[in-house]
Amino acid sequence: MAITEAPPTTSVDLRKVLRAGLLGALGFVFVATIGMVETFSTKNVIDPILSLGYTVLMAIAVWTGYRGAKAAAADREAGAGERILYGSAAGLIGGLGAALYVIWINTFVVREVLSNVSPRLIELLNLGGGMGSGITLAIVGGVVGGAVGALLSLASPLMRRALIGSFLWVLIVGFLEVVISQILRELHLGFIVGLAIPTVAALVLTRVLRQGPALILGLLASVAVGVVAAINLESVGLSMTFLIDFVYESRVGGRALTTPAAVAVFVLAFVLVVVTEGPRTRARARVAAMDPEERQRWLFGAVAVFLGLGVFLPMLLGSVVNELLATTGIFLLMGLGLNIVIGYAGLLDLGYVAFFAVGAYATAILTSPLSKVSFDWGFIATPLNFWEAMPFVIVAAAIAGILVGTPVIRMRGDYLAIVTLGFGEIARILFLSDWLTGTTGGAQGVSRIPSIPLGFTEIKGTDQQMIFYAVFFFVLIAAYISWRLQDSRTGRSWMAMREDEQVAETMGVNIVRAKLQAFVIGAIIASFSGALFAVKFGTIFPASFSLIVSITVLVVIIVGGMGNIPGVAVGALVMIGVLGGRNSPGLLREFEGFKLLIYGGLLILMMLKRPEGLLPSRRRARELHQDEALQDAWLRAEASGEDDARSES
Amino acid sequence: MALLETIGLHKGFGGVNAIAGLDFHVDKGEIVSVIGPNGAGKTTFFNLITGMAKPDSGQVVFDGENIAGLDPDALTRLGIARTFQNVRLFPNMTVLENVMVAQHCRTSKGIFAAILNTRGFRQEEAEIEQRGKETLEFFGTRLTGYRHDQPAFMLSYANRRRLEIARALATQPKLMLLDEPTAGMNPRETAELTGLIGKLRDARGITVVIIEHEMKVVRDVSDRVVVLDHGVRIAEGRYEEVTSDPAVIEAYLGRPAGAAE
Repeated sequence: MAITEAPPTTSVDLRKVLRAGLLGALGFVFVATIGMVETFSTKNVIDPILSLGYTVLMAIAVWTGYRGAKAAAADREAGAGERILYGSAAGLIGGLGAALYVIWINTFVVREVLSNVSPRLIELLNLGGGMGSGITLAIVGGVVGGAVGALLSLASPLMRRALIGSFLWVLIVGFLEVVISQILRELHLGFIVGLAIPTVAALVLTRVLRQGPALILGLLASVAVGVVAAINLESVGLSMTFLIDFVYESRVGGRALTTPAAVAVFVLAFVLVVVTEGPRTRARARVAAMDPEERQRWLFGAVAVFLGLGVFLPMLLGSVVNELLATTGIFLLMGLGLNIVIGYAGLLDLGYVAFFAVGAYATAILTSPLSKVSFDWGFIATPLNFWEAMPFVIVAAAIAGILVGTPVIRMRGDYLAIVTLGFGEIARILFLSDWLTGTTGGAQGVSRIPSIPLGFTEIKGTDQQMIFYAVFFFVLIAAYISWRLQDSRTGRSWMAMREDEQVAETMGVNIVRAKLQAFVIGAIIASFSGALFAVKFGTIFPASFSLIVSITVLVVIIVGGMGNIPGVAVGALVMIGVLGGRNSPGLLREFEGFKLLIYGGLLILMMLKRPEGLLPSRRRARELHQDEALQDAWLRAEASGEDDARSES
Repeated sequence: MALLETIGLHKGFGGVNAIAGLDFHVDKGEIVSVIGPNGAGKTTFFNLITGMAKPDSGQVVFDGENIAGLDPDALTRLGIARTFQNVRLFPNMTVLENVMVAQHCRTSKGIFAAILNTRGFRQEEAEIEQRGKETLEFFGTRLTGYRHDQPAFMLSYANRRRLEIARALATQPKLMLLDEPTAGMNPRETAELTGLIGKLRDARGITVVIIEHEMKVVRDVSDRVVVLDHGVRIAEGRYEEVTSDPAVIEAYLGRPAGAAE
């Protein structure tokens, strides 16, 4: 075997190579046994060459080789040949493990115990042939993959990033087939112009104007111009559908990238990554060196572009993606609320779903014509419309916030989490209880929740595009509130409380007040989310408000980046939009069966590698990497100290 | 006239009397040192005054008002500020934010003003920032400039102690309680801080009670020294009087071996 041929003088830790190989084998067995390979094999990444199932296996082999080669290089500078040798060796070990697995499932019938080891899986692993071809595939695949992994470890960081990045882009373009073909189908010249006008206007205004309000006014004007242009130019046409036929091939399991398109995407992404490396580094340096005022102006620009996208993109996306976005937005809204409670004020609330439920039920009970609650005060009578119900919903949420917040005023950390978790369940059971059945409808819930009137038109729950706009509107409100509060007197008092409650109190912060404020604002934002949820589905049941919703929202803000508004948005997009929330498949439908597994894996990975989240606030990143921050500061002081010395002399 | 007075103050933890019927007073504009061996009840005494612990019995009179049992934030609003023996800053907030948040009870703009970004809110925020910067200037240039935006955990030990004093100062107190402000400082830093403690009173009119182990500091700053042991006052007076008091020497060094009971 390759390992024994290595010169005895090396200090390469062979145990590490062995461990990499065994981990690879374990990975192979795991994804095969849980049924991932089989399920993913129906999804073609590149038509007709590569299915997602084989892609996963390939990725495992490459990763194994990469780790093996890294192990060889860990103790000293190993040569290229040696690295490839050890990478392949690790791949070989993994491949041997995989081959044993293949022999095992070919020889014995294990399906009665491991139900996912189906004939189809065996056929896939045998590559259509007999056991011999399966064994060959496992070993050759392992060695080749390992060698590729080793080569990858030899490449410069830029090259490695470009290669992996480009491959990921191929995957992304393949997966976003629904979105991209929908956009291409709808994309007329008019829309391009309509989108370009506000974007360019926003960029220009960011440069010219220094004030936020004027910028937003100007932006609104340019959005209006964009809409008019889009509508007028739509008749001109210039369809882009020819691109769809080039990029995607229709198959039974859904559409997949064609081989030429895959190559084109790979090359394009690769070139883009390499070519933009310099400018990106410079841009990052410039952002780091920006003064707050300039940063603020760019921030306004980014917000403006985001607004433009929020208005225009849904027109292109069709109902499937719009529904996904609306669901994402509902969770994002909750995430923003929970971000105030946990991210700002540090109150670990695991019963957050209670406020979501209060918002949904309050809306449903007050607006549904079937509701048993009725009153007539002359100027206002049930059933109310959505906007008339809103003040009641807010008051109900605020009361719920105070009811949950008051008993837990003196609790912290774990105790607070457990008690709020209990409150969340109490809320759900209350809505289900006989006691409130007259009002809440028990297990049947409340149905026929009407649409949102908008004067000249209305937002129907089934019109996904309009629902998205409604959600977007409330998300903007919640984001604005979060942004305003972050650096205010109230926000600072929350921050101090999160840091050290006792000291905050000694410095004059009224803890009772600060906690209730956080609970109430969080509750109100969640109630917006609940109200939209009720309108979107038209019917609500207690079962929609279980503990898992609280946990999902918590995971959204942890993965995205606690304490940071764009971070929460990224978290919602990744967790809900791409992976899919409870009862709502995300963009990656193939992952549906493995969603919880991926959730768990992702969460563990994030906690180990990036506890501050994908897009953290500066403060949180610094907090979780104090050592690095200290070192940075020390180095900078050193550098500036030298500068001082030079300028003095 | 006494700014702060405790009458028969008592606090027990289980069977131990941390403070056992303590009578204490500090006059307006005075600097009083509280000294005593470890476990004498000095920090408990501070905790009782600032509301972090509630007295079992006895009165705490501040500015003619009985304040025993009030919450810490209410006491801060009345004008009592403190620092901690083991520095307790808000480590992940910046230096400037630390002194800004301390002005919480001197400012008033709430959530709605912040969301609507009213003129009053912007004005108050500007004032908070301005006052925060001025407060930091109390320590010369040590906490100014680029330090404003550094998180507090990045500061050196001495600077953390300074920032804690600045933070207490930002609450605009009448009475300041300093718990071992020079612990862990080198002699030069200690001397500098000793001068600043005098300045707290002379320039800002703040009455100071200070717990200190460094006898040089006690000698240099105090108008009066109070010695505690086992929760009671065993001596009081000028530095020279107190340090030659046999009861004090006994408390610190123990009774000489073989001495008669």
